[in-house]
Amino acid sequence: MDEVKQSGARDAEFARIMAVAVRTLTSDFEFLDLAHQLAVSTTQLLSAEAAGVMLEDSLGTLQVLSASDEDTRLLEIFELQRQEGPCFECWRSGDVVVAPDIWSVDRWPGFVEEARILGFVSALAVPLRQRVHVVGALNVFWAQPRSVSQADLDAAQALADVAAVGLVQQRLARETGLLAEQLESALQSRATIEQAKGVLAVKAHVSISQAFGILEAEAHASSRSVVSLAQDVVDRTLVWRDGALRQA
Amino acid sequence: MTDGASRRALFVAKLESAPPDSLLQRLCTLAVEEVPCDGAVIGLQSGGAPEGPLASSSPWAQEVAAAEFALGEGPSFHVISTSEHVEASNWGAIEFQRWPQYSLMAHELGVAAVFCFPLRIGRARLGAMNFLRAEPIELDDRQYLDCLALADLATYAIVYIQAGLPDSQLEALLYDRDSDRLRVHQATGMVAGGFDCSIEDALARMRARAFVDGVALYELASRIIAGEVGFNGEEWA
Repeated sequence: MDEVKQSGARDAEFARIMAVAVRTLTSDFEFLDLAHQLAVSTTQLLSAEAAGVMLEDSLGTLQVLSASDEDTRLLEIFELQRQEGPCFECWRSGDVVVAPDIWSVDRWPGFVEEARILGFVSALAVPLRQRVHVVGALNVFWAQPRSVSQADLDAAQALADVAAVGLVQQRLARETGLLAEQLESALQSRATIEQAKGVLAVKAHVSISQAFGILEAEAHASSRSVVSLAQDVVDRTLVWRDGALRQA
Repeated sequence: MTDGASRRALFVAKLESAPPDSLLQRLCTLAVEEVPCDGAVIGLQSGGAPEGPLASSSPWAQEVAAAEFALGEGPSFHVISTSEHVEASNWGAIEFQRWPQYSLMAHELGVAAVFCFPLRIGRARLGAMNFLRAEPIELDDRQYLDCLALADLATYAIVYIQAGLPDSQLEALLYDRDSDRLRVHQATGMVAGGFDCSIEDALARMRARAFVDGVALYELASRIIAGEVGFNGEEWA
């Protein structure tokens, strides 16, 4: 695709993302869902393999919030970045981190080892800001060498900024004062989803990743959010019976 | 250091150097020192409703919590059933109108503002922590995070208590909290599914089992996920 076409396609995709974001912001809104959509959009916009959002919790630990795919290994590679890696560095410093060849970076041995297994070659991380405070980062991975362009950086930062706007909007919509509550609530939603995966894995005799597939399919079929379904699964108001999720 | 990391370091240092009361007790005392509040109290929950106060910073805070429990309405009830936070920063706050009996009682006892947080891990509900003020106050982001941090520590301490373990070591608790949490949440869900128990019971059972096995929580979680530790009716298999 030549430069002009690429730019036009990118603008169109970005407009689409904004429309989706605005729609989610006005309804019964879960920040975790927005983060997931942004991660997916990031991969599309930047032709990347995977993307994810990490957020800082109340005790200053960087936690994985959402990724472009709920694959366990992908989520765990974000979780690994609590201690080292592009996302961690970005959050700590507040600066964009670009690694066109992660295998040549010796600051992140543990992370690189896992990233190699997943076939990641290049990485980018941009900060998620709320006013002056860096609350997390958006992390992007490519499976081919990528010399990260200014257009890539602008697009990634714009998406991270949409996330930041999302947080503000949620505050205003719910008339709750504080950013901290939104972040904590989002991270608790992530924990709930993981717990639900576990319940379903045992009840439906499937893997953790497959368990998420069940949740996702049901969310789609019943037009409910994954978080809401996950809550019901853990509460046992929704149970696995005769090959499907049903009211208890 | 980020804001959160320095907050954590401060709390850890203060909790470790405090006299050896129970950890929950120390958290309540620390709350009064670090957060603009005049009293702090922690209570457990059962069946989706608060139990009476378990630890408090003062007899005053204890009295407010005990009275709330007796009335059957108030911020603790709300946070436990909804998992939402309560911020009632002054007498005009809508929350006070929602709980007329609680408000009357709180007013009589000199409470002008209350901030209440659910103590939870995902969908598991462990209890509630109240921060009480004798003067109206609006918390800013920094103060709110302090409350959240203390509530978070209290949550993990309660898991130890419910697992029937000796008075929680802060270090062990922090280790639990930090290590491989996705996996631990997944395994907790598996335990709940495997034993057909509540997610709260699953947390306690995992914590107890990890202690007995002498392994970290995430190590047990890995074993559960790998199918090396399983379930047989009421017992581990």
